[in-house]
Amino acid sequence: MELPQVLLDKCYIPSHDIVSREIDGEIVIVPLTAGIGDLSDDLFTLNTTAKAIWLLLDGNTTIAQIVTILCGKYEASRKQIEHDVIGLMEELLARKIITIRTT
Amino acid sequence: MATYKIAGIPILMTSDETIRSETFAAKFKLFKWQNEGAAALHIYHHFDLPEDIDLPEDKCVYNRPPWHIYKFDGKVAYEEGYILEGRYQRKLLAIWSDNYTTGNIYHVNTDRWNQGGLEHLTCMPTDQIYLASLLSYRQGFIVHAGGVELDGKGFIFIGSKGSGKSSTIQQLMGSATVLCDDRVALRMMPDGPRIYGTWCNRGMIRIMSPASAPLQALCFVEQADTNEAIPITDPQEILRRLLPRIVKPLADTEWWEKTLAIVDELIHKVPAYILRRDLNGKVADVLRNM
Repeated sequence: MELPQVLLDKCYIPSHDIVSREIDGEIVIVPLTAGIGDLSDDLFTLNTTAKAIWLLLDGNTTIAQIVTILCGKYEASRKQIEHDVIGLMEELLARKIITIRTT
Repeated sequence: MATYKIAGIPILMTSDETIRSETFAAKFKLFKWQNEGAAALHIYHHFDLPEDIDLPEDKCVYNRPPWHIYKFDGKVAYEEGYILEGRYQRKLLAIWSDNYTTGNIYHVNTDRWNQGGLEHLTCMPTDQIYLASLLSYRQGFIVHAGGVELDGKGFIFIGSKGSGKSSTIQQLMGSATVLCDDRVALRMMPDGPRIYGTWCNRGMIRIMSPASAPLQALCFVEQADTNEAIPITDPQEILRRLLPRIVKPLADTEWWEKTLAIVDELIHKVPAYILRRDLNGKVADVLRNM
């Protein structure tokens, strides 16, 4: 499957079609899909690092700015952090958990 | 008129046709309740389809024939219909109030009703859908699991198909009261989490009970050649194991927020174990030591 492109100069926000809750330091995300029955594989969780990115998806902070903020918090190189951020964003976009802010 | 009780919730059912002793499956006799005055849920069965109900196409939120689900004007409508001779024909229509306290079930005729032995109070494919919604307003949910009461304590057995849920229950028959082999209701009550038997049973063991018990442990079952309980101390692991087993209705934001809050509280209040058990029947001793 071709992954969606993540644009460094754009802002992203959580989709309206998900519900999230922080439980024990991790973000639990479930999609509001129309299925009925057991939850099966719908559950998605973000670990501590991914959570730091998630919390910056406020619609006002671009991906490039998120990378800069994280560079101030973590010792990894900017290239590595950008790689990790884009990787997570691609997965969240592919799962329709986030969406690009259009206005 | 007939009254039932499930998960501590009284359900009053009335019908335009007579409710005979054989109208519903024998299992419902276990869940009969004598007090007709304080029902939290009313189900009304009617036997003519209303002509004045227009289900707006743009409010259809679920479309998997034969079922269509609509949300409109604070109601949820479940419509069962088929294409016959090129024309759509409605067979059943169930309209629920927004908080699932009133359900009007419209049948196209009395055929199903008169056949008797109905497995679900609503004549829908399963009662668990509205029960899952109703329970979310009462601090609870339904979990795809087996449940028993042993020495006054409740145990839930959770696992994927073939993990040994049913054989665990089988081993406990005789020493424990089987609440249900397949679907257990769980509610956060003032004195702690409590589990209840349900009639929503598609499991191998068709034994069920309206009984309830304070929840002692969540047991994630694995077949093994030993009998032991290994504590799960990581709440995230409990969450990842439990959440996929919760039965979801037509879930919206409100249902999810309530359910995740309940699960969050539950996994911090009730111990969880990986329950490894062999076939020698000593699993009851392991449970008693939890």
